[in-house]
Amino acid sequence: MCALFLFVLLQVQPAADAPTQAEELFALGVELYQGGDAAGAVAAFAGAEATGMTSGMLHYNLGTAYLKLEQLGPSILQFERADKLVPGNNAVAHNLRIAREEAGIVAKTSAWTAFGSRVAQFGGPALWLLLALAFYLTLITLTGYRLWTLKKTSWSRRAITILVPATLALFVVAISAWESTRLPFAIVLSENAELRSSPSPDASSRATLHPGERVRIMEIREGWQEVSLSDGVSGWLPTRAAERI
Amino acid sequence: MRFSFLLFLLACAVPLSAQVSIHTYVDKTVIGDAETVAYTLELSGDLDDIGSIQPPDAHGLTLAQGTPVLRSQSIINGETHLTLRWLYRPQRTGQAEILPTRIPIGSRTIETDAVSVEVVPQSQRTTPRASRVQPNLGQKPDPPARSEGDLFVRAEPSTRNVVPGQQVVVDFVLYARSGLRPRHSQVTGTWDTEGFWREELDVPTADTYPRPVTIGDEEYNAVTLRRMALFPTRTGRLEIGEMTFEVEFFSNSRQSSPFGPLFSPFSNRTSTEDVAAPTIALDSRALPDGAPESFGGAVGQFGMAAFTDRNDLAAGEPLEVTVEIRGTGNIATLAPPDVDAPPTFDLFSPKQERRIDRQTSSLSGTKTFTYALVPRGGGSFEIPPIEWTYYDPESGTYKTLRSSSFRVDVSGPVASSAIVPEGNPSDPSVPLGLMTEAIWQRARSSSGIPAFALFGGFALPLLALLGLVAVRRVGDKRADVSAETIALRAHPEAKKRLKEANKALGDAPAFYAAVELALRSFVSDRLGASVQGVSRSQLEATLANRGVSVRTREGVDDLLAECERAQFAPGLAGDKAVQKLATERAAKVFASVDDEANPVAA
Repeated sequence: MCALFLFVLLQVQPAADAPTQAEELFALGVELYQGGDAAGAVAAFAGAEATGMTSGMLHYNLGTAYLKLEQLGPSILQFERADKLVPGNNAVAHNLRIAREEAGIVAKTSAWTAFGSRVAQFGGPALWLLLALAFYLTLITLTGYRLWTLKKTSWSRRAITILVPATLALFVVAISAWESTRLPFAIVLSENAELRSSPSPDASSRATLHPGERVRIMEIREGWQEVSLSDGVSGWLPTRAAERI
Repeated sequence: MRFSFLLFLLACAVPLSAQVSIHTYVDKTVIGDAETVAYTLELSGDLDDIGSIQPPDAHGLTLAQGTPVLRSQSIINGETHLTLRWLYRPQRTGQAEILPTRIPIGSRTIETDAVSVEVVPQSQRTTPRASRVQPNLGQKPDPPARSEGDLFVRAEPSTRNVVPGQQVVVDFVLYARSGLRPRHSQVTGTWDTEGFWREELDVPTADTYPRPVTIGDEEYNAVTLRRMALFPTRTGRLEIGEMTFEVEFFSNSRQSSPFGPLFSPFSNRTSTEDVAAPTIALDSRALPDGAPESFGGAVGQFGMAAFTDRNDLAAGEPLEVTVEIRGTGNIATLAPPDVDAPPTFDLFSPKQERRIDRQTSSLSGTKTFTYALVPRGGGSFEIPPIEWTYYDPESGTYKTLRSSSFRVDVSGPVASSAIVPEGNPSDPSVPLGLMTEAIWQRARSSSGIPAFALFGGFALPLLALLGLVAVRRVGDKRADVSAETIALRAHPEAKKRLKEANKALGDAPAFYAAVELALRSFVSDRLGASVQGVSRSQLEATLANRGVSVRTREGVDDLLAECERAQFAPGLAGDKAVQKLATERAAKVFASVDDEANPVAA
């Protein structure tokens, strides 16, 4: 079981010199941007991201460069990613707000979603799930011990009394964080993306989405992704029309 | 006749097809070895499929800069006009040649002709002039249609319909009937030209000699006395005021006699007369609408070259960007083009120089703007192309010239002033700049945690626990395990002590002491509070406080009482069988207490 979780947490390891490459490309992007070459800066920052390393600052700079190029969809996407990595950063919030205003986007997020996103920012859902699992296993072990030995000691009872609500709370937190990754958000990148009733270009259109709009990915199927909007409307978009935050 | 210094050489005019025409020329066919020659390639027509154009190779010349100093593209009447210009530096004196270059257009390739340039030592060069002849300005106006007397002066403008800024060349021409030979003239009085900015031009020597003209049926000699370049500064009806000349001339009264000069060589009479050129009016109309942003009032025909003095420098060192505008028109009053500097560069007002050529048929010259840009930090920068627009009155259109961009590598630390780190912005509508430092982490997999892993991770331990308990319970049931056994299993210390008591069977004091110890240890363990040494009444009270029933309390008390009796009066103690019963009672008491006692006092 633990091995299962470890397997989930295992990630593809970037190349050994990836951090150096990322830093060099990051510095190059800053220079190009300062030199007035925002498009070149985007290319350099994207190259840094392609090394397998990531950074909130990198996504912030990418978003800022896209904003300079007036590519609002990618700009908002990058700012959202930056916000996930460096939550509460004023510069990210500032530029994200400007990008949304320029795109005419009003951000709507439910309290549960916002809670899950915030929680997921601190170590990711895996950390919370591991923590909840540790509490849960402790509780199970203690309960098992009591049931096995039938030894009703006061310390074990006190421990169980504390562990039950703590485990439940952690479980709620972990589930909300997990849900935020299981059903991730995406940002619409395409102009006038049609939200179809089924995964087919011939299906009827339910709504027209604009770059920068935030949708929730429900399912991905052969070049299409089912998404839901903040007002509850759901439908299918081509996968290239929106990119996951 | 004097020649215009900047002679645009028509090097070739390759007939391609009806869609594309090509025109190449150099600004000078003779250059000093310290000068540069500008090679211009003009293409017009359907240029949608044009490929990459490379600067032509040259013999005796080398490219001053790989990128074109001018790249201008405009669409006039649906036809695309592309102009590229490169600067070449001479490598040696003598004959030099700019070789043909191949230009791919769609599936075809066209080739220009070679252009020859003569390179001479710089000492042989005179002051360079810049000019491009305006056809209408170079033409002499027609002579007057009617005579206005024996001697008269007229102001003859190159055109009467102008726009603000457009050059009007006005010749003041003296007409003298045959027999009158002008000798000298000078302007007297003042000359009013309100609404114009003016520059005086040199009158070509050829025009200062009398030239025969016919006015009506009369023969006249015409002499150009003065040439002015006027530039309207506003719209409306503008008057060129009367200009008066004092003219000294010879008059020969016997001119009609064929022998006059022979027999009366001193019969010529010198006279002086004031002659005024009458006021004339020009109609100045407004410039057409739709001027590009880079238009600053330049009117005429111009070319532009822009270059930097270097491409590599250190932070803090000045970089010079020179924009050179040459041509014919209001060159003296040209406003500096806008240069966009990178954010980390300090841009200073340009130094302006102008060279005016007054020896041409119209005012021409070069105006040079030299901008100083000082980078505050290191990095690779691009100075955007410089755009500059003028109005060409000949074609009646605005023409925009555009230089190529300039790449500049600056060594030194990256300037921090342009970087706005996180913090509360002062202007909520202006995006903040980049962050210069990043905290890196490995990118997380975007696959997420699958649901089966999540629920499996939580469900499996619970299922395992329930299974384990179930197995244990089933095992206990099959083994018919009593409550006493279960209680003792839960309290191994008490179980151990009861075993020790059993070992002392027959030795009543030792046996009962062990049983009492086992009982008190068990209760202490079960209640979480020591009851060793407390009296029976106190123990009963404690058990009562923990919810233990009266019956169980009596059982505990009876057992303890039996243990005390046996220890203090061994003779009253029973035999082994009685002692074994005491062990069983103790186990039952344990089970009852274990079952009934609350962990916390009521």
